Amino acid sequence: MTTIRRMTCDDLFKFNLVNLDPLTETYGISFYMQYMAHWPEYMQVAESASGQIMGYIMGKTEGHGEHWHGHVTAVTVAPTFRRLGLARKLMDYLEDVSERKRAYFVDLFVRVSNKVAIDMYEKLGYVVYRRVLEYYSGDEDAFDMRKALSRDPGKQSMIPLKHPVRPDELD
Amino acid sequence: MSSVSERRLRPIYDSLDCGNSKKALQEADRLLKKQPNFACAKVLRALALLRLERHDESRKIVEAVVAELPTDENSLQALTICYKELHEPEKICELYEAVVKKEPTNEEFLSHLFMAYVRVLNYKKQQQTAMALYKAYPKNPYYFWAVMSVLMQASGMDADETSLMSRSVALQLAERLLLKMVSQNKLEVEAEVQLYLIVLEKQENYEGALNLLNGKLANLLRAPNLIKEKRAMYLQKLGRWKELTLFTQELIRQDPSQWSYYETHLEAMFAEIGCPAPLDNGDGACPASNENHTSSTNNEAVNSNHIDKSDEPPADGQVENSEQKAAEGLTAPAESGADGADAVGPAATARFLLQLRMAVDGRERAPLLAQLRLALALRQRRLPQPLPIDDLEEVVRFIRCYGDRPCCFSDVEPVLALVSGDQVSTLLELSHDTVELNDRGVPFSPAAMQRHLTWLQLCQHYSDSGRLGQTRLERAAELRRFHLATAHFSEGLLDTELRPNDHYLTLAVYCLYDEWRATRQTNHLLDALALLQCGMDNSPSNFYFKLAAIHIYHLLGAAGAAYTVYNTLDLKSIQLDTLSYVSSRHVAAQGQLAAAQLVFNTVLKFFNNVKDTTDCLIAAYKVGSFQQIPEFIELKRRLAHSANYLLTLTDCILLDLTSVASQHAQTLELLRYSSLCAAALSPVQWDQLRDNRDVAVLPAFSDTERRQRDAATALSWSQDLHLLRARQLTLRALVTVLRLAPPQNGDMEQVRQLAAQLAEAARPADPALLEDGTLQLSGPLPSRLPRLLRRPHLPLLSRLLETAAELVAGQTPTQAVNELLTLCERLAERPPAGAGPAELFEEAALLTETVGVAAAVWGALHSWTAPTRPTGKRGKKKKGAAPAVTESECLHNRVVNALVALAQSTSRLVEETGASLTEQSAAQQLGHLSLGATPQEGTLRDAADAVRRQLENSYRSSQRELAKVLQYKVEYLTACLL
Repeated sequence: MTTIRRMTCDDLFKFNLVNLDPLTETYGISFYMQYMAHWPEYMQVAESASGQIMGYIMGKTEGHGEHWHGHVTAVTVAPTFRRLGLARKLMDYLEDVSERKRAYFVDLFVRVSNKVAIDMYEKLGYVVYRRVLEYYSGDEDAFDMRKALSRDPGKQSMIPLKHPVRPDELD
Repeated sequence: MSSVSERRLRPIYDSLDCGNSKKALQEADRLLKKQPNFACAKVLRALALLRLERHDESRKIVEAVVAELPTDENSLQALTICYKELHEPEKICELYEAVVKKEPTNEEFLSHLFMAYVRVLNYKKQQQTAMALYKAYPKNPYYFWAVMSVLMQASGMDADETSLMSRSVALQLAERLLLKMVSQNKLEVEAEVQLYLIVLEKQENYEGALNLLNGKLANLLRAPNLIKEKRAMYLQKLGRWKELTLFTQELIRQDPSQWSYYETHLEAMFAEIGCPAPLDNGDGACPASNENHTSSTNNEAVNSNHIDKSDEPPADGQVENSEQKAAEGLTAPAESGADGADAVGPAATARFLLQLRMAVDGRERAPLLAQLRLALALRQRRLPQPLPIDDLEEVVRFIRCYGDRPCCFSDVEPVLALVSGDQVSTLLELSHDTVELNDRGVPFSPAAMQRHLTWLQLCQHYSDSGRLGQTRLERAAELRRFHLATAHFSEGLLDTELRPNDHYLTLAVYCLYDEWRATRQTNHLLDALALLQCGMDNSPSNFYFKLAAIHIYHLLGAAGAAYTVYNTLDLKSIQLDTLSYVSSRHVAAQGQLAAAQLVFNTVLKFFNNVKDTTDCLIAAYKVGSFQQIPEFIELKRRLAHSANYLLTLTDCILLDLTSVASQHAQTLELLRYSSLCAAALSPVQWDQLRDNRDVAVLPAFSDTERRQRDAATALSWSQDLHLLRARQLTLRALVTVLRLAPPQNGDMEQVRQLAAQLAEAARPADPALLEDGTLQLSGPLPSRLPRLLRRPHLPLLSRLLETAAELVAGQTPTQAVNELLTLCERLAERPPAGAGPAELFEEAALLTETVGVAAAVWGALHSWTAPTRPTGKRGKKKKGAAPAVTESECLHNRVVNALVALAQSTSRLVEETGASLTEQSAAQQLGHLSLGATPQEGTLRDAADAVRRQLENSYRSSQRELAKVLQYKVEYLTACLL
């Protein structure tokens, strides 16, 4: 029971219930603005019936040719509003937008230690496509997880790589 | 540019990019030695100098290069960056205007010129440039830049109001421009159609907008839900309520979880039957209701149809008595007229929602909540309930179905108004029955625990109703026991996760806080802090605990302890605007000067770095995200006019100028190197200031509490504005005086004016500004203003400035000096016995600051009136040999002595306060006994000890810091003796 709507600049002033969570990064203002300027339809918040921001998703499309894909930059839900399926709803939304943009797949990066999130993404149909060495500060590795969209019926984009890559090898 | 030049510039770019300006400068010098006329190298050299803070040199180079007007892209880009960093965006316009004059149809230059106008929000020139571009290069984006620029002229968001076209003329022009493209079938992308919609919306031409949605242009609109939402919005604007009711019904069917659809549906339905707004205390039902139901509110019915209390968790689709009744209502023929006239109305909506609820997955809360919202809306409008549904029973149903979710209480809280006063006990009883407890009375699963917490939040909601049969302290102790007994549900969680049982402690803290509000006995706050300390030890990421602890530490005057917790919040970026207020407004005010510097610097650094949001604005034009453009401009304003920023800035500079100096020369030095002073003293647009505080993080449990919070927020906002005014005046007066060296004729007039304004600020016309706001844990701490105004701090400064002006004028203001002395004596009076620790420290810190300002003012006066006698000991020796002291010198010295006496009495106050508080804290009864902890239980005792240490350390360091400042001020003032 949620309203999913476009994120506006005013939301930045009241997303603290979500952003005080230690795993949710608070970026510089222009970072959000760049996303809002370039991919407004990928910036969605989930708002409760009483007007609180419950969570949000940020994403974009990028890549060329068969690498044209949707990317999840952040998806996060405030502690009080977890276990309601909100993250799934937001991810569905992002996948829907990516479908409309004729993307081949959606990908995301997650800390290898973040088991809760990895499990959730797996439930949503994502697989670990490759491991990216020392991607995060503090030298933690990332999993690059992917889910093919309808434009990639053979799910070519999801065939895992055998070897890990370094961040500078990312395309 | 040739690849050779490109290659030669590369090392300079690289050094600049990695922030090594020194190396960039060397590289540029080396290159210029070989090629002295290389324009771009010169500009990059200027940029390096700029970043090395060598502004004058940099500016000279820039001017010289611009005079020759280079037209290569690299030089122009580099010049743009220079002007950006010099904060002179208008110069970028001038630069490209000149370049375009040289080459009027160069696409690149024209487009840069357009963007240069975007930086300064000159919409008129944006429009002209975009049209010139389109004429030379007929590409769609240029055309739509022009349309957007016209639209912005209609928005009144212009930097230059004189270029404002009349709103309607501008809108008509924008539409005409668009229609031209439409008629030629030239709209190609979503952004262009969206712009068309924006123009129609601005003109309130919703009919036209609806037509657009029905036409083929709508095919270009791709974003999910966009068309649906726009259609709903237009129908709403057009007041086509019946259509909207049916349309939203359809939308809800398609997506039963999107809450905004339900809200619009209810609004439309009530508007359609002629009952748009709830009646206040109206006398009578809405007119248009033609439904003939009797209200089903009936207590006996509740008791006889009591809710199934089986041990099983509520399964999906359980149909109970009232639901059966209601289901019968579904198949019954329409009540009001056989012509189907009730297709829209409460009955139709009620039936629709009930049907929907039975059809959807039981995990979806929206249909049931919408039913409750409908019931509430009907009741507020004195309309009968169309279906035989019992409200209380439905509220309990919601709690039964969804009580195991952490958000259940916040969902259901708005509809608790459906439960009448005499039903509260029944509600609590019935909802308690949904909680499964083991034989020790403890929830036996995480889900049961969450149900229990939901129930406890209901109790907190009704805590003032006197129905709970427990004192607050008993409840706090019980909550604490539950917290311990459910700890095993949180085992194995990472530190980054909140513990599911944390909320027991939060609720206990609320109880203790309420008890403190009722009794004002400090030990309840200490107990609360001990619980919070346990909570933070055990659940280090729980920000509710942290915010509550910061609030309570500040209430106890322990800013040092508050600051320690504040740091663990790790606020970043925009949070430094929205949340830093929890500590930033109190740290210095409670004597933690070093911590205050750190807080201030972090906040100010954010604001100083945030300025370049303009690049995003330019990006929005480039990609055609037109709807973001007004939003971005508004965001920029919200930040530029943040009251939090100005308060922090003013506090920061005042602290700087009044605390560290022990002699006047140091103050002057500090002023000279204060890079922020100019910003602090630039004129304030008072009517533009924004309150960006986010006060809604800690939960409020009832409507009353929220209303109180809103009232407290509003009061503290108007008080903080006045506080800012007073502190701006103080700073302005101080800086004005410090900059007079020595004063010329007429200078003192300005000082006198500031003195008069300060005196005026001391007596605000609105008596509400002197009130202490209501305290509540979920609201902001009160403003410092009442404390400032309660005692004659501002009158003292005002009188001091006047006296200084008179002495400079060669008068002998005996009367003024006598008054000053009286004011000093009044300020030296002790705060009343029984004043709390916060009050004592805040008073002491205020006095310290007042003495600091006074010392600087008198130091300045001394430096003018005794030009032959430099400050310090050497001066005084000479004085010994000088002839008898004049009358005005005598008055001068009397003021110094009075200020020294004030500083000394403040020192004593600081010392006594520190000592007695530390003593009190040590003697404080350990709170944990009253919370029912057993003596064997170490954690709470350890936590209470840790809290006590925090308090004592904080008190001691506040004492130390203030004492040191006061000692400096005594030295400072003594040197001012003639």
